[in-house]
Formats: sequence, C-alpha cells, structure tokens
Amino acid sequence: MALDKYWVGGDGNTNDSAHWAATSGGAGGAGVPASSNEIVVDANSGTGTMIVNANLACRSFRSAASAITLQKNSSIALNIGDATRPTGDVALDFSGLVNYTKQNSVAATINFISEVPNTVTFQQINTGGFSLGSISMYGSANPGYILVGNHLVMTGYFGMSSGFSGASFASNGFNVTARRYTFGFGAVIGGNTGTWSITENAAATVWSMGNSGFTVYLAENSTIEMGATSTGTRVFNGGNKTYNLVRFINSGSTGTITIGDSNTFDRLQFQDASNARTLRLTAGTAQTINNYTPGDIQGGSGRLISIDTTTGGSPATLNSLKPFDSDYLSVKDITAGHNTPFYAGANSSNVSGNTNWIFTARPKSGMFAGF
Amino acid sequence: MLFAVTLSNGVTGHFEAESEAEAIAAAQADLERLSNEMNEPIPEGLKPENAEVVDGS
Repeated sequence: MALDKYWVGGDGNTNDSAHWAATSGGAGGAGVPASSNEIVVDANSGTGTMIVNANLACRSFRSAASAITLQKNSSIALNIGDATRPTGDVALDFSGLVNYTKQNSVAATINFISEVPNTVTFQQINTGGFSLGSISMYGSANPGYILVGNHLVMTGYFGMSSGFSGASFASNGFNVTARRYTFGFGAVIGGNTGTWSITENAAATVWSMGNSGFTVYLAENSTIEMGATSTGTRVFNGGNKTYNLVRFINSGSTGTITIGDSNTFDRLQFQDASNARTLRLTAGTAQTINNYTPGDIQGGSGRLISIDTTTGGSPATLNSLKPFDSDYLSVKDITAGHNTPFYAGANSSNVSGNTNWIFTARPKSGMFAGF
Repeated sequence: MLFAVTLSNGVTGHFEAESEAEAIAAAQADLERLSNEMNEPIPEGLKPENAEVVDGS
C-alpha cells in the first residue's frame, strides 16, 4: 500500500528518511512516517536496531519475522492512530521483532490515539511478549483496543482517557501488568478472565478508577492483585465500581493498603504470610463483599491484620453478604453491615469505634449456628 | 434499571435511573461535575444523546 512505510537498512534512527521505503526492501528516502502512514518492519528491513530517537507518529506499527530490535529512547512519543482503520485492524504488532528495548522503564510511553470509534472496530495490540514502558489510550471518537497473542506487560503506567476523550480496552483473557493504573472519563475497561497485576513498590496511588458513570469497569471474571511488596502506603481508589476478585496477599510487605471510594467486591482478600499489615478504608466509605470466604481477610499469630480508617474516630463500613469469619484481626472504627454476623475471631482485638462485630470465633456448624 | 447513555462523541457511560429521561439527566449532571472537577469546560456540542436499558433488574 502506498501508505505503508517500510523500515530498511538495519541499524538507524527513525527520523532518518534514508531508512524508510515505500515498498518492502525498496529504496530508502521515502520520508519519515506521518500519522497517516502504517509502519512495517519485515524480513527485508535488514539487521540491527531501529532507534525511535524522535517523536514518531503512525497509523499503525506492524512487524513480521524481522531481524530488527526496536529501541525507544527516553521521553520520545510514539503516537499510534489516526482517523482511519489500520490494515487488519492492527494497531501494534511487535511479534516480528527480535526485541523491544527502552531507555527508560516509565517514560517510554506509547500513545494509542486513534479516532476510529470502538463501534467500528476494536484495534489489536500484540506486544510480541516484550514488556512495554507506559501506555496511554485516548481519543475523542472513543477508540477501542483489544489484546491479541500475548499478555500486556508494562514496566511503567497504564492510563486511559484524557480530558473528555475516552477509549475502550478489552484484555481478552490475557493478563495485564503495570506499576500503576489510571482510568479517567470515558474509559471502558473489560477485565475478562485475565489477571491485572500491580507492581508498584513505592508509596503511591496504584489504582485510580474514575468515579464517573462515564468510566465503566466490567470486572467479568478478572483478578486484580498486588504483585510487588512495599513498605509504603499504596492506594486503591475503586471509583465506586464492582470488582470480581481483588487480592492483596503477596507476603513480605509492611506497607498499608488504603481503599478509597465505596466499592463492591465479589471477593476481597487481604493476608500476609509473614508480616502484620494494615487494610485502611477511607472514612465514610462502604466496601461490600458479595462472597466472603472464611480466611479471606485474616492474620496469624504475631502478625495481626489491622483494619481501620483514614481518619481516627471516623468509621467506614464493611458489608458482607455472607458471614464474615476471621481471626487475628485488630479492628478500629469499622461498622459491620448488611445484617450478617461479623466474627472477628477469638484472637482478634477490638480496639475502638467498632459496631456490630463479634469478637469470638464463629460457632462451628450446627443448627444453632444459625447460618 | 441500568442505562447505557451515549454521548455525542461516542463515549458511553452507565447510570442507574428509572427512565431514559432520568438517565440522560444523570449523565448531564455527571458531565457537569467532571467539568468542575477537571476545571475544564465541557467541549462544545458534547452532550448525552440517547439512553438504552442494559439491565432491567
């Protein structure tokens, strides 16, 4: 296609016209791609490293069985998408690269900014199994993107939407890994069956879901989990959405997990096999757990799990649609709701400000257990 | 009921409401709240255009 720009000549910088040809293996000098061009790296691209050394725009980036490593320099934008559907509805395909490297694990952002609406097509993203830096998705026409072929692993951040622009993203059963996630106005996220892993190990807001009706989170059968230990406080702002399984169970952290907004979880797990930890609920919010399973939130001997709120003396509510059955907790300022018995367990501590908790073990099964 | 409300730019949101008119009003209110929070005017022409029931329960 005339709109394709083929990489040729192996090693080189992407702002060098001599490395761009109008045909596969053709003569260089076809000009640096613009947003209306589709970049192709293939077997005729030569051998070596293709360095994105200056801001680069394209409709799509495709690769097929090449000997090319793609390197993205720090603080350089790679903007993918225009107002036209890319060939095969492929926005990005790195599967034909030898490798993808980044000079900076976070600042190597790829922006998906198509203006093709998700009602027309979901454009494919295939990472080729390489970890990306950060990803941003937005567009005023509300484009849609779907993972194919490989999991999406980012060493940086995952952000969706900007201002009043939106985007839709479906993980399509693949896993997603990033340090932090931000979903703003117009972001529509399909969790599908994959696991979304949070790998931030510093104090930070690691999950920021917009609380607008125009930020739609479809949890489906997905799992969200903390994938890194930390001594710092990490904040999960759920945006008043409904989640499937959210778990903070990797051992070795001492930092607090703070949950913001009033969210619903099918299951919420908070445990640490080696340390005392704190689960902190934002004062005035309510967290609802639909399918609490005994032990989902539980400490151990010498390592209590504290549940408290962001403002001492100001309660938050913890609802459970099934009996809450735990042990080795230290509870402060938590109102237990939904007319379900909340058994904190015989080894738990009733600090202050709690309502509706029972600080004994849950009775063993039997007709007088009642539930 | 849960309505899917679509804006003129194709962005879709979900709103609990008893009627289509209520859903559109809720969506407009949400836009205005976001505009205030972002300290950014609502883009010209951006408005809720239609609402469809996605969950009638």
